[in-house]
Amino acid sequence: MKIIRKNLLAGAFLLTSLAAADAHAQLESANPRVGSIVSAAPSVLTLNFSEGVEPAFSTVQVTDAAGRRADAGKPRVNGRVVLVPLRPLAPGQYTVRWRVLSVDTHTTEGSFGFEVRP
Amino acid sequence: MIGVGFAALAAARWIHFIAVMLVFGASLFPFYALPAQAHALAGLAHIRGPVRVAALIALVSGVCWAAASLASITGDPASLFDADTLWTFFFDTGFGKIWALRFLLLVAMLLAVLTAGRKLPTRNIASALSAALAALLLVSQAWIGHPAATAAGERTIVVAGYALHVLGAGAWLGGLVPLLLLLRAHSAEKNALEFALRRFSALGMLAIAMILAGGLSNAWARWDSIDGFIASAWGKVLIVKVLGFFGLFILAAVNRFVLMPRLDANGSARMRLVRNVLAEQAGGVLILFAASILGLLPPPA
Repeated sequence: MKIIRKNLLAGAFLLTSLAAADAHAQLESANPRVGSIVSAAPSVLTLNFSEGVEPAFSTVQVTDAAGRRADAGKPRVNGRVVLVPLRPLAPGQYTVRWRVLSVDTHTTEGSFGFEVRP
Repeated sequence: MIGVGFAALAAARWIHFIAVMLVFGASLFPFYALPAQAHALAGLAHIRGPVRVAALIALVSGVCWAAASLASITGDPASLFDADTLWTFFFDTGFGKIWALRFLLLVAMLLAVLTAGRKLPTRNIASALSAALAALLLVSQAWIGHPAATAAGERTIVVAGYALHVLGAGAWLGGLVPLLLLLRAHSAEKNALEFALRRFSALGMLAIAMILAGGLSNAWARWDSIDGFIASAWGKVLIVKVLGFFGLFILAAVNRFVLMPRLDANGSARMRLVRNVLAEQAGGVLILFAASILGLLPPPA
C-alpha cells in the first residue's frame, strides 16, 4: 500500500500523520484537532470521516507517551462520526491510531498526535 | 498480501458478474424474443446447460467474494474460520446482512434453475423466477459497494442509477448468449430468427439507455473536477470502461442497421452477425473485468 507520510511541525514537537493514499473513508477532522495542543483535557475524542463507518471491525486506540492506553471503552459510531471515550488525561503527548471499516466494505487506517498542556 | 487480496476480490467479482448476468439475460430472453405462440425455438434449448453452470458458479464466486472481502477487512485469512468473526461480519455490519440475504438468493436461484428442467428457456414461471432472483442479486450489489457510502441525500438516486445500470447491462450481455445460439442453429426458422433479432435490438436500445442513464447518474455523484477524475486510478479505469462501451455500441449499431437488413439476401450477413455477437460477448466480459476493479478503487472524493 502506498503511504503518504507528512511530517508536520506543530508547536514544539514533531507530529507524524499517516494517511493511506488509497483510502475510502478518510479522516476529515478530529477533536482535539490533529497535531493540536489543548489546555483542557478532553473526555471524548471525536473523529469525522469522509464516509459512513461500520462500528464492527473499527478500532481506535489512544496511548500516552509511555504507551499506556488512554481510551476508555469501545468507540461509539454515528454515521461518519466516531466518538472515543477517554480516561482522565494527564498533561502530555498522546497518539491516536485508528483503523476503520467503511460501509462500502473497505478498511483504512492512520494515526496522529495531540498534546494536553494546561 | 494486499496484492493477493485485491486480485482475489477482483477475480471473484468478475466471475460473479458474468455468471449472474448470464442467468438474468438468458432467463429474460424468452419473454421478449419469442413470438407469443412459440413454446420453444430450435437451438435455444442449448442454453439450459450454460445457465445451470452459471447459477452454480454464481453461488461459488459469491462465497469467494464474501470470503475475500472478510479477509481484507480483518487482514487475516484465518479469520474466515473464526465463528465470532463470521457472526460479526454477517449480523453486525450493514453489508454483512446484505451478504446473508444474497446467499439465500444465490441458493434459491440455483434451486430454481436446477428444478426448472425443460421449462427453462421458455416463457413460464420458472424462467421468470430465475430472472427475478438474478435481478435481485444484481441490484443488491449496490449495498455491498460504493453506492452504500454515498451521502444520504444522494444515495437513493445513486442506488436507483446503479440498478438501472446493472439490469441494462445484464439484459444485454446475458441476452447475447441465447441470441448467439439462435443465430447458429441451422434449423431455426427464418421468421422466428428475424423476430428474435428485431426484439433483441429493441431491448438493446432500452438497455443502452439504462446503462447510460445509470452510469451517468453514478459518475455525476462522484464528479468533482476533471483533473481529480483523470488523476485517479478510478477515473482511468472508468475511461477504459466507457471506451469499451462505445466499442460495443458501434458493433450493436452495425448489427442492427447494416447486417440485419441484409439477412434475407445472403448467408454471409448471418455469419458476420455471429462473429459480431461473439465480439460483443468478448467485449462485454472485458468491460465487466473493468467493473470488477472499479468497485475496489477509491472514487475521487
